[in-house]
Amino acid sequence: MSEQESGGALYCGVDIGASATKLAVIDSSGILRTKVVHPSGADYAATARECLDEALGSLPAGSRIARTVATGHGRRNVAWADDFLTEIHCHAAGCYHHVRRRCTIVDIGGQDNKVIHVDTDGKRTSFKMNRKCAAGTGAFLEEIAVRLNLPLGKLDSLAAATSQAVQLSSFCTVFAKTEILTHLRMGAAVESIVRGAFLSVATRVLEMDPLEGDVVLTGGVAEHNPVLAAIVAQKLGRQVIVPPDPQHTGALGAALLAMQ
Amino acid sequence: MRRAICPLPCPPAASAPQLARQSFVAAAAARVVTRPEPVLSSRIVTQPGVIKKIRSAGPLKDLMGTCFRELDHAAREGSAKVAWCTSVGPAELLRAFFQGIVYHDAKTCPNNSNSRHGMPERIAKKLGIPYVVLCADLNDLRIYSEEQARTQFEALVEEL
Repeated sequence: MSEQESGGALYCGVDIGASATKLAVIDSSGILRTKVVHPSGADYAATARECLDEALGSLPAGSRIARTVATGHGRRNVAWADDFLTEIHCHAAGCYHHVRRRCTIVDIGGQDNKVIHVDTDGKRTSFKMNRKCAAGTGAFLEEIAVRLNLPLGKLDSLAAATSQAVQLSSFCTVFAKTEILTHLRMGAAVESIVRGAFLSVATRVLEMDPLEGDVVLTGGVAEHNPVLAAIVAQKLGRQVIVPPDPQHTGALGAALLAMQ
Repeated sequence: MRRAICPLPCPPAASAPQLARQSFVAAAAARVVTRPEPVLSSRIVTQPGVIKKIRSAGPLKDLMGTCFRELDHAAREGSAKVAWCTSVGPAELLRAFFQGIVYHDAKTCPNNSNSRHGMPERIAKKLGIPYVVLCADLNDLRIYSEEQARTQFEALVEEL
């Protein structure tokens, strides 16, 4: 099958994060053709390869990946990538593709969170990244879920079920877990504690840097927990944009940059 | 240039090493003492013993002066809390080399305040150059994350 028959050359972006590996394939028009997400696991190279195989399996036979850009903290483990770019650069490109105006991107991942400022032309102007500490990241929510003996996937619905939130520390996961014990002893509802955990994440990211222009929320935490966008919007006092496939904006940005 | 007054008991407000450091900073803002070995930037003269002014020295000196005066005023008037403020000298040297500023936020060092009080944001705004703040320390390396530092540094290079 020729390239024309299979829709032309395709471009691939792989984002190997601390928790999940995301892969996006776009065509030369910038349209998303397929996307894959796998847990990153312990062998980043093998996971990236599995993601690629799965993506190729869902594309028409004869599809050709013309170029690949790898991003995320495991990007150097993707041996078949043509280029390596930081996730900060790729998230900016992926979000601007959807938003097309000046914005502040808040990316909340499994281990990192970032605030990225993008100007009207899509150029990144500055960024802030979290410290080594896991506060305000997906890892924080994972720890809270373990403490409350809840499956991670249930946090969103629990937090959405109440408007009451307990006050939890926004600077330390270990302290927050200890604070939860106090709230449990005082008889606080689990829903309020879970909402308090989301509020803690929102507070932490809003403390990082001033959020100018439209705020765009990305990352796996935003994808799996729509309640977070509502809480951030409530704290900010204005609307928050969640692009399509927020977990894949880094991989999409990498694919777009591969095309360039 | 007057020194910002520290309202906290620790660190001591007027130790000789700190005063010496501040005068060094004032001097560093105006000039760079070149090393005998060749250095990275062509804008710095590489001959041994030569002191050469660099382009950004003037604006940065003014900016630092303004920042210190603001802190001094705030500490004296009580209009804002001032914990401590010392140098931004290293930022000047790094800018000369890389056209961007890398700040080292040494977490357990109370004298290291160059990346605090909104200083990086203000300098970036004034000079129009990107920056990054790397969280680390001089003693406690548990604060430092190699991966995060690498990503932030590479992101800065991408911006350049």
